Amino acid sequence: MKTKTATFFGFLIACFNVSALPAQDAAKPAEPSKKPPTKEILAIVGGDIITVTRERIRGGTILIEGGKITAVGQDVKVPEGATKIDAVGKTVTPGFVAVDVGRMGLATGGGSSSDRNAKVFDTLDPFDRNLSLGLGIGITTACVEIRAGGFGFGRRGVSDGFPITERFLGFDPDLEENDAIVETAQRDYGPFVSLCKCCGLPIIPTEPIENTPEAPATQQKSVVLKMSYGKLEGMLVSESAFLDMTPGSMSGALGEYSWREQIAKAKKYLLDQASHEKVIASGKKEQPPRKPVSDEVLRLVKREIPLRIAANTVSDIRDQINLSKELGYKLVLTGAAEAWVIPEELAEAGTEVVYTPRRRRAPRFGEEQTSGTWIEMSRVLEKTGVPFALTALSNAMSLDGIAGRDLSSLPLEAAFAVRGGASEKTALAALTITPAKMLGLEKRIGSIEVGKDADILLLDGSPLDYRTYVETAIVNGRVAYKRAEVRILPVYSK
Amino acid sequence: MCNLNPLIQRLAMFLVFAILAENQCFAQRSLAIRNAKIETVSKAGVIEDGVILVRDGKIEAIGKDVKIPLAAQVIDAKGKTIMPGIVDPYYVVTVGRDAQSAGETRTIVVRGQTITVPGGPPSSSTSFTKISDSIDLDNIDWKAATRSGITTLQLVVSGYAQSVIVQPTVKSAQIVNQDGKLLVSVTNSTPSLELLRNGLRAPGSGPGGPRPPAGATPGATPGATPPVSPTQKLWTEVREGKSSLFVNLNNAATILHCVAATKESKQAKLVFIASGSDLFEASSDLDPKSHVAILPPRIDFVPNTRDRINIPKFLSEKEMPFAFSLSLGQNEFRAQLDTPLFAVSSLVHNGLSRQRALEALTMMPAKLIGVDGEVGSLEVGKKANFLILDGDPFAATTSIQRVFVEGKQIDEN
Repeated sequence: MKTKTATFFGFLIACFNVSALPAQDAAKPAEPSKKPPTKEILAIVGGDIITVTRERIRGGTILIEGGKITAVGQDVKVPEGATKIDAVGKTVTPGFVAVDVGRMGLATGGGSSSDRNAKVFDTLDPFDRNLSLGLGIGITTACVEIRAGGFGFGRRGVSDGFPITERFLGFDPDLEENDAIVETAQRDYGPFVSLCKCCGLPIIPTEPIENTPEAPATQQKSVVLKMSYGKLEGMLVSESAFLDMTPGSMSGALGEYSWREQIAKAKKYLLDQASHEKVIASGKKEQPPRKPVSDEVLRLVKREIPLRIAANTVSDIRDQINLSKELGYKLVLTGAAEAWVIPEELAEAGTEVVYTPRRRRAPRFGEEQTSGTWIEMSRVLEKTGVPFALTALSNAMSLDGIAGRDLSSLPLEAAFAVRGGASEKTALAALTITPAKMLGLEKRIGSIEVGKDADILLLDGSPLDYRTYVETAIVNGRVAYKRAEVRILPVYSK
Repeated sequence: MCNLNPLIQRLAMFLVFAILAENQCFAQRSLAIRNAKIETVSKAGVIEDGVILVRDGKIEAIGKDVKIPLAAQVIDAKGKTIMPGIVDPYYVVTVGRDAQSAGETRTIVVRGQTITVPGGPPSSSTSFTKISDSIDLDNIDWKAATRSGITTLQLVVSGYAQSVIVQPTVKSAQIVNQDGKLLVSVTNSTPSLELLRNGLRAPGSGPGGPRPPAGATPGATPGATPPVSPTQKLWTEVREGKSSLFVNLNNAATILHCVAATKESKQAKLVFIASGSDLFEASSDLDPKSHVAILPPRIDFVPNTRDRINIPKFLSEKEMPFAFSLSLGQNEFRAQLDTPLFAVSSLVHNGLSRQRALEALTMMPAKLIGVDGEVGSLEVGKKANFLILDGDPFAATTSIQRVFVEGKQIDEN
């Protein structure tokens, strides 16, 4: 009887098929080493280093200390006690910078949209799997979008792509979110909307409601995150790198008018603020001026951050360039399908571009030579000196490593830029230093130079080859991704 | 007159007998269980063919050569194993809101059963609930708990609350300690993290010190002079390390946020209630000196992979203290009432030390909820809370045969 029991149990356990040991080998690369953290030195030895901003270094060594690069070169000596990473036969590049990334690295659960005191830091989720996927294709820094209206998430978000009536089908009278639903409905249908107590559908009053006027300029929010998988420290880099605007909010007479008004208000406020400071400095008392616009608009006027807006046709691009010249702010155009038609105008205004070489847009009838997309735009922009960064066809990260339309195809876009005639150097810069400059972080990231953040990739081939995988990704001087251990991308040796 | 006297005499006689009989009932016969293999979970270790002598609900003697009094009721437990009653440190009672009759009553949903109790609904997640004030123990089904061998439970709700510690009786349950531990549920968002940060901030050092409770404070009369609210008192105890704080975490990132938020308050002891995978992911930030984990006993997956892993084994290798909550593994808990220790036994058979597993079910949770002086192990003077099993606790087919609380049998299989 006893043996029977034992066999039975053994069978049960076999069913569990527990593989505790390999599992622990596959533990996070985030596992900190057991040594005290005092001045640990990491040395990447023997790699073919593409510095991006300087010359290529063959068989070079990079020393990393305290999250920063402390030495780069062929004759750098590795100090004793340093942790060595063998990079012989590998290509070493700076981590890629993605300027247009959908929500990632931020928690999906908590947080209420109505809470104005909500802090971005508190919603950081360094265990988001998308961070690993991002690192797997080389992204170490990303400008991540937070949707307008705070960072409330979940099914009832404003811009989750469903019409509001569809969203109400799943109405649950017990949900605490009802206030938020009413708020959303009122935003969409006007202030007189209430919710039906039975079905939860919005009740729109029978009196005709006047059309809502063209909306004043609406802003979106995005934050810059390091893909520091498993570590909160150093993950949040910047809370406003761009002033993001929806193109619709600036089109039409009212849109342009309200935008000009905002800029004028911001400029006036800055003058008032300066004179107020003088008054305070002279020892008198005075009420500080009221801030009429958001901090981002003020930073835009001070030329600390650029405006980022989508514009595709020649006329839209011209409109934006003219506005930026008139009002005196920096401009980053996304989409920019027809920028190749008027590259000199962009170069002259100092406008920068974020685009996708693989995106296709049909030319207008009869204007085949001067409209739509053109594969050679990369060459044209490079020749005329318009800085460009690259983004994928979709800013989501979803396909589990199969390069398709999503962000996992980002390095492929650089390859397509080369196909269109840009030099490899420019194409690589479009993944690294150019977007770093757009984010105002060129002193920290985007190239392999002494003093910069140690965001480094070890690749098993050219960064522009479709066959290349990221083997190791280092973020802030810490190994945050190892392909062989994380195993979200195919693991085999060539 | 002469008729009356015998009557009084008879009455008096009757009373004397009645009182005697009553006394005999009160003076419980002591109970002795012999020939059992006893897992004491104390220094005594395992006692083969041992005797437990129980009197007045307490363990009077335990060991190999215990003299059994003649009057004692004797249970022969040959071939059986006795272990201390299981302590569940996190038995969730969810408090919901009744949309129709808000304000007057509120509905508590306990494991599928809906119970309406008096009292207003909590206005938000940050309102404080003292569970002992708003719970009706007679209306909760304790069968699942007793059937699983749980003899002491810390009842908790999600959100911001003070727990209550109860033990099941034959038909209901009774309160052991109505002033339980401070509980907070923390999510990956500002409001809940602020609650934690404000609570742990010493008064005076930050803006306003601990935030006063958002809801009405139970027991506090308006206009009363002492400014220290019950919640402030609880937080002070946590800050000074006198009482541990139970933090329920919804994902691995929240563990990092919690550790970051509590770095300043070095004395505070935090009990993290999290899934095994989350604990595994955030393990590099866990500190065995100030953190304890409560997790459901089960084989987990390494996050984002198909690899299974024995997290309790992993934690004990890291010398990270942990306790099991049988009820946290909801599905297993309901499905395995007949073999409640099956999940733990699979962990033991895959490398978790037997002793650590026993402790994680009994002594460790007892320590966490502050009842280790009374329960958690089989020692002289402690409550006679124990289980009689028909075999080794960690054999797959073992079932619990009898459950004793304070020497009284409350469940039998």
